[in-house]
Amino acid sequence: MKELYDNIGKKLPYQESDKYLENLINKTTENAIRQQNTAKGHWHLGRMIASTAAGLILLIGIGVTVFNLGDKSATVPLQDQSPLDEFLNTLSDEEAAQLQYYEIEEIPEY
Amino acid sequence: MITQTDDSTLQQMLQNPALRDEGFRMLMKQYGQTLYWHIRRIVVGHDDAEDVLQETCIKVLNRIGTYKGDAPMVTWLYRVATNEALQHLRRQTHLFQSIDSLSDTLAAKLQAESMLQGHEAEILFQQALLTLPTQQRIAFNLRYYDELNYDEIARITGKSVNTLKTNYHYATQKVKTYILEHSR
Repeated sequence: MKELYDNIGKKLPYQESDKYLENLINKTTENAIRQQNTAKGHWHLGRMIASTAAGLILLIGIGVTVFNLGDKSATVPLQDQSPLDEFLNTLSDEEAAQLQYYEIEEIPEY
Repeated sequence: MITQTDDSTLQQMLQNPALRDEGFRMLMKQYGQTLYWHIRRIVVGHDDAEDVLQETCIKVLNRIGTYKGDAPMVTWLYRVATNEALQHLRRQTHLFQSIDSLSDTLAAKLQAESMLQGHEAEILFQQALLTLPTQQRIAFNLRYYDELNYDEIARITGKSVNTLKTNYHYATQKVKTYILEHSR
């Protein structure tokens, strides 16, 4: 029996030809390289999309701010008096004096 | 058996983005078959070995930056391949099941794969190896088939040299006993 097992040596009960293994290794090598490059490409694409989106958001933000400022200065009239002041100015002295008798809690809510 | 020939050249190529792909092709040409057989002896099935080899290639390419060059490159490759093979075996287990409990599954694969080519004694020897705990079997394979020294096996498996020597001794005893008990 010893002789039998000495003859086995390092042989395995399954074998693959060198040519087959060479092809297999080439295939796995190229797959790995392709996958690595694709992953890198995806990472670059993701970074490009993110920076483009950030740039767009910044531009929109600047645009909205500039538009609002321009809009305000052009269309909103400057108000010297608030509507409350305007209303108080229309009251006579007696009516104004009456206002002092109201506590803040007594003002009804509308 | 392990030589450091061209390791530094390969490392330089792999860490240079312009030469990386070519360096990786050279690396796999040099060590691909060694890695395939190392993986195959752990996972037994050819399809499994192919999957694990693919995962190993991807891992090597992704992690080449972590290779410091303080050990021969092939040791590092063996380590990556061993981890990937163990990971592959773990995926075949159920929750809380040890990979050592896969010996029956692996024995069935061995039987199927060696039906056409295998000599009876060769099959029996492999069956004996499959009765060993996985870590012990890996250490045995690295010593017996790949003829690595204990220091190299220690670097690959993360075990101490003394533990490996003891394990190898026990493994050979177990294999001999199994063969004596099962040979006709």
